[in-house]
Amino acid sequence: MLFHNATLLVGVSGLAVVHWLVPWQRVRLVLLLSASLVIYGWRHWPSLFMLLASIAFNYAWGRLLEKRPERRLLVFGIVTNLSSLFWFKYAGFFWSMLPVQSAPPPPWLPLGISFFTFQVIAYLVDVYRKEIPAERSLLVFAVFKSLFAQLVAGPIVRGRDLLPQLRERRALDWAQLHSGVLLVLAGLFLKAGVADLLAPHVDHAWGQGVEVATNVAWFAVYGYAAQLLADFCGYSTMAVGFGLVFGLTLPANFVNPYGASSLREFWQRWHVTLSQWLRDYLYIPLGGNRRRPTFNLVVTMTLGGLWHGAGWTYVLWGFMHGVLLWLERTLPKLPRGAGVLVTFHVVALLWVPFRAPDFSALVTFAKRLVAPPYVWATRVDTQFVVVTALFLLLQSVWFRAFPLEKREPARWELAAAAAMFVWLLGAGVGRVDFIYFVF
Amino acid sequence: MSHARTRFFALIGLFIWLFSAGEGLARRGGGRLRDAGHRVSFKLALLEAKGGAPVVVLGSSRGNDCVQASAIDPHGVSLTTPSSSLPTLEHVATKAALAPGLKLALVELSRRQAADDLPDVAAPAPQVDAEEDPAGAWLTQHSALLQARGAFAPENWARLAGLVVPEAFDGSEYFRSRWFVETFARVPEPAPGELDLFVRDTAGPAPQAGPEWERISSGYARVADAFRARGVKVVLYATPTLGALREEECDAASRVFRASVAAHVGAPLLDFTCSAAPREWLADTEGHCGSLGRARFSQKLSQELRALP
Repeated sequence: MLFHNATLLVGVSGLAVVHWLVPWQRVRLVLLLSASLVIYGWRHWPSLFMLLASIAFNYAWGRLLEKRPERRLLVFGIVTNLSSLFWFKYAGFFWSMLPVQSAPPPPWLPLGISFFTFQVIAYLVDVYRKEIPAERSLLVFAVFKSLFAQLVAGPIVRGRDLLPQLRERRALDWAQLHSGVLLVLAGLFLKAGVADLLAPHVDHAWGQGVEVATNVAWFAVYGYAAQLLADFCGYSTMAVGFGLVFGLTLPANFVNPYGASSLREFWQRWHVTLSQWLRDYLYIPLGGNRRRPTFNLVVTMTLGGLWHGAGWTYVLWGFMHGVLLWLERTLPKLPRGAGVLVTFHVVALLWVPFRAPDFSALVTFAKRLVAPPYVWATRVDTQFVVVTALFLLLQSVWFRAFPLEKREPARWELAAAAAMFVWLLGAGVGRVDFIYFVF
Repeated sequence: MSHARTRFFALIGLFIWLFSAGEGLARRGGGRLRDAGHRVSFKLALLEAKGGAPVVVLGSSRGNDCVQASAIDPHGVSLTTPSSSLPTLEHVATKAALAPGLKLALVELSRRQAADDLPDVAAPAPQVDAEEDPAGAWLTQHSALLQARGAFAPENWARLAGLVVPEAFDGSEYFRSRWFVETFARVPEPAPGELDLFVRDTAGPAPQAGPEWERISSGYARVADAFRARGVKVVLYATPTLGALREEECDAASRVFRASVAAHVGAPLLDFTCSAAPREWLADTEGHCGSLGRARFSQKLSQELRALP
């Protein structure tokens, strides 16, 4: 079920009331688990079996790894998780490269499989490394793995952060509840009020192919940079908000990423939990900065690109980030203002392969950005230009007002909430899936 | 009650108050709100809110972008609607003819305006998939506010303002607010002889036949009759074109066809479809004017109207 769905919002409100009225932690967990499974299976119930199987396997394997912390058992656990990810997400991609005539495997993709696979791999590695104990309670583990707030598109929550919170019976914290509701509204505003408003304009520009005017193509680059951030950050903001409503603190996934003055800083601010995962469970095990750092960096970012989607455009996007991150290390540091401007444009231009449906569309669009004929179209929607510009220019204001970590109450928040509510009334008519749901 | 608890309940109270107030407003004036959610119903609601007009301009997006109603008459109202069709034009004409004080109706004659698409005159109620979102579907079905929510879309804010202060709008503000560069465009007074660049087509009518002729000529006749029945003069107009569209609409057969429709309807035709308008006066090759073309064409139209008997 989508986050920007009245049934989910009404259901979660009711669930929160019951959750805080019930004094027993075990019952609260049962409520959270049941709700999470219903929400997850709402659109495609067979995905539930995949999720339940993953819960059962990883719970048991975590216990086994704790008793017998053997490398081969860890490898088996990781390979088992990765093989299901590979089968559901990448088999078709690799199959299409084989010189065979038979049909590729069915294209069913369980929602959020990339996210929950990475989450449990981190859990198994942490147990193996004895950084956390294996979870004793199947119920706690099941909620950790399936919690609706983070299941489908992150943040990728570590066991050491969430498991202790789930074990402990918490008292209702009104400040947390208040922040949670406000963040859900803010996330909804970003998604339905900004991202969904920009999406048709960006799609229209991309849909024009060679006909797209030069200025429209550039507007689409900025528009997509705004759309993607609003979409994914909107989801993450709602996720953190939902967590707070139930007294759970989920990690922040975005910290004003377009305010970064270098690519390195960008990746510390964009999809933070994925960056940390890639650093801790891929980059450092590959050798990190100690041995072949350039190779490790490029491989990590390329695989990070592939994680986002089964397509060469994603691979190229990740590879380019890896190469530019390496290049950045060798170049002198720019003054902060110039660094922010350059980094933003590099990131926005690298979203072009990320957005391109295939290589041919990528080449066509890239040519329209930089190659003649330079055509200027006057018919560019005011709404598209104004919302894109305002959203990008007001990033630091937004992230100061609605930080995903500790938030202080603000005097103007009722006015902001009223404005977002009214905007959403009109802007949320259409409903488009979250972009990161497909990853 | 703790400070945090007060803030929480203030926030929840705000949502409830906003929704209830909006619902109350929508139930009392829901018709008007819903009107603002659709290009055709809005234009008719604006005309009603203005209490009538001496001149109305009807047409498609070409008329919308090329004719400034207030340049024809200070109290003129544009009832042009993008993606219009002949059935939509008939609907608008039937309603607009009832406007008090109406003396002149300018009606676009073009292939786009003569299209046979189904009438599209009011915003449909928002659709929510009951299987995906049962609560959303139920709320949408039972809430007047949610049914009229299209009025709150940012592109319709100017329409809401138009219904609140109708005297400030001539029905064509949509054009300026929609396209970014037009918002800042400034148009100088025309140089001497500049308007003469528009040359009116002089093709004459000829006998026509066939189902397409029947449909279009009878449709335009009904539109003209709706106005004439109320004593309103009707003038047909056609806006300038460029490129492929010009080639398509400026062959001999098309020029004679338009002249024949005008003769059948019995209304003068100010046909500038084939006029050699400068490229910079049009915003695209689909017959839409930019600010300069809009100003110049409206001035030319006004000049031609004054010259009519």
